Amino acid sequence: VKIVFTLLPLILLSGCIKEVQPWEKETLSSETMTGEIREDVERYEQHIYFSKEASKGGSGVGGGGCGCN
Amino acid sequence: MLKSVLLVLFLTLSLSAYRVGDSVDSETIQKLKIDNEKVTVVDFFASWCKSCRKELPLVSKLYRETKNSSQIEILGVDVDKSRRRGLRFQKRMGIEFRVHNDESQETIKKFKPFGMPSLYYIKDGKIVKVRVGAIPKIDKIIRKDLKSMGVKL
Repeated sequence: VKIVFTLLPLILLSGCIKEVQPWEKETLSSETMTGEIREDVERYEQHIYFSKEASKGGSGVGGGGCGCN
Repeated sequence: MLKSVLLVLFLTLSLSAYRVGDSVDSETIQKLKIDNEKVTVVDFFASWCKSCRKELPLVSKLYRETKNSSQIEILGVDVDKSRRRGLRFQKRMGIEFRVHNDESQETIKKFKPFGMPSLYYIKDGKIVKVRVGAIPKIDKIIRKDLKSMGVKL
């Protein structure tokens, strides 16, 4: 009985697992799957951020904020 | 109990792929038109594989340098699911060597490499060496491998 209860879920659940093979990674290799923000979009978002926050250098670059950019 | 089940699963999965020393089945040999008189370098690639894009110009360069050799053949296997995309990619990369378009991915499923791109050296119908992944200066590496197999280039 123990063996059946151990093996049965394993057999049933094994149907839910399908490892993605290296030759099946076409969709995963797509640029949209990287999770990174596109460079041009990021620049735009930073511009909005700097303007709204009245600061320059909000992402690591030193500098005071005049709120004029 | 669980350990033995996992071991059986692992062995089943690992045994079904081609490894060094395995004989390639006659169906694949025929499909890929492999000449058993030569050492065939089978290069699995795809248009979406970034490393393949870096590697292919070097493989093409090696092909141009060795195309008159009676001892080796370079054969590409494009595993793109879309034949049209594959052919466009091959054209863009300027591939001159023979390419088998494996859009059904039946061939690569037999080899089951654990990465892309992957190179298989086939001699007398047997796999003698496997190289997987992006390898810098792959043309020189292939030359070295072939030399170790007794091929004079």
